[in-house]
Amino acid sequence: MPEGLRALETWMLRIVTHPGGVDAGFEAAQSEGLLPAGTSSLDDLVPPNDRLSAGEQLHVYAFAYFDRITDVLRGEYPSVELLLGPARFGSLARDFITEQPSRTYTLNRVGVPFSSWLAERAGDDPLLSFAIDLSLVERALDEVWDCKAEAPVAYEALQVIPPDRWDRVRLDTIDALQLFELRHPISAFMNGVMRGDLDGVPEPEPSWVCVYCTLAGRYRIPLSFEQHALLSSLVDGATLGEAIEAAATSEGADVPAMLAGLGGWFRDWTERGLFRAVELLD
Amino acid sequence: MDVSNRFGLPDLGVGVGLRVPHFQHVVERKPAVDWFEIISENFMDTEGRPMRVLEQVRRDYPVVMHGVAMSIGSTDPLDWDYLKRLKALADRIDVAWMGDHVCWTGVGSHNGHDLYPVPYTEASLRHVVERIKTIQDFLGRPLVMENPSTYLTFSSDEMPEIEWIGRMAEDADCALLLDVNNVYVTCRNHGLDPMAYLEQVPWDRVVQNHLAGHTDNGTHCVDTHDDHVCDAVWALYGWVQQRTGGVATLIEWDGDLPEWDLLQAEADKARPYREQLEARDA
Repeated sequence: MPEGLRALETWMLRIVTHPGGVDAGFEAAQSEGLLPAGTSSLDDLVPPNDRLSAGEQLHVYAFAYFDRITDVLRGEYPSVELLLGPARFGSLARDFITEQPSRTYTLNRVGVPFSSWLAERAGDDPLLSFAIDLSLVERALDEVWDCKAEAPVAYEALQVIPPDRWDRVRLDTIDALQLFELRHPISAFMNGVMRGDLDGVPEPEPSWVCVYCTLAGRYRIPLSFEQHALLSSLVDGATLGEAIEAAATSEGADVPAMLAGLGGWFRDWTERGLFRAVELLD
Repeated sequence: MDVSNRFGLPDLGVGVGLRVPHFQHVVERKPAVDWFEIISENFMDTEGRPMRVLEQVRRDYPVVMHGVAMSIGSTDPLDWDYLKRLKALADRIDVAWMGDHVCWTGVGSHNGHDLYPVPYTEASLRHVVERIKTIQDFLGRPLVMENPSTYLTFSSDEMPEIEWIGRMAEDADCALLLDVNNVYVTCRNHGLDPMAYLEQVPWDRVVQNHLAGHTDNGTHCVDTHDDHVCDAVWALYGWVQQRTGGVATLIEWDGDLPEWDLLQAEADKARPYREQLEARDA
């Protein structure tokens, strides 16, 4: 490996990714001993031209570094940006980029740690607390997009199963499905974002959400507590009977409503394509 | 199809980049473009809708892979996980060819997600040539390397960019993607004559052209891919097509991506330049 090239790449990346800008990056590189011997100014590294100084040329890359990744985060977390406003989101994004420098080859994964990073700094800030929930769901919408698109089972395949066999039936959920138990009612807010019609920030209140993707597109649907419990058990590999029992015995479950709704729920979920197989055990 | 380069790679005609907002239109309408280029990294880690669409598109059109993360100039070790994924995608899609940029994107495992300029030195030349050879051996096909847009030069540069790129192509025996807009942007930024640059291109290694819009800030131009190709770049492109005898041409449009019809109209602007060649050769 050519040492001179290594050194050049190291000082340049240090300068153009410094959160304080090019001059601060140069000072940092200098104090860290990254610059070639005898370097006293940026002009020693990058020749100025008749239009731009050395610093201005480096600034083109420095600006692009934060701007490009912030744009990616804006694209992945549009509801979070609308919640926080562009200025606060931009400031948070800059901090995130600085504290979590990208180690991945693809911009598509740069924003993966954003939710957990928000969680570390949220404290008792109610807006950030809500932003965490939004970011979890928006991240999931990206992740299910890349899961294998699978052919769903037809509702008729479920209809033929008699109730006395439910404890011997496993419904295999698609990979492109994620379930969430959240501290805030995100659905109305995110619907408002999609309509461009925001109606304030809701108070904390538990909510449950399913995010999934099929060949037709990617979706987010609100769930009841019982629906979430039921689907969670199915995702974990429980039989249909076990899942129903687990949901019905969950603390706070509205069992009569659940039993009355079961048929419609499974019809809806099957028609949405949430199941890829019906497995009859022995 | 005409073949005028030493690699026997065909003139695919006029293509555009395959982007998510156009997925449905492309799959359903099969529009009248000759081929598609993909950003390799956007399809390497997906089994979902992007891959389904790509497979459908590939049934109807030639596809070229163009990456942004090979980081050929970096002094970090080659990322073999990345390269294996790249090869797997190329084999799966049976691409016409594949390539990346003359640049580095990060060092010390920190990815800046930009196309940073390589210092044009003897040492960097040896380094990049060895890496291209290693990758070509692994991929079992020539790499198609693109000249970058650059916004600075280094005090340590030992030769002009096009001399360095020509020697790289010769020593590594790789192909070249001549981005005509990048020639224009780089020459504007460094006070060079684009025709003098083009006169030194090793034409028998050029298998593809890129065309794109840029942002002219007065003091410097930035390769933003967010606008129409400017007249000056079209004029250079006409000369380039005459010089090559016609090579596959792609319109790059990423920022402020327009509706399909506008994109296709921009691509169609390239056709008269190519028809002049056909008339000349008739």
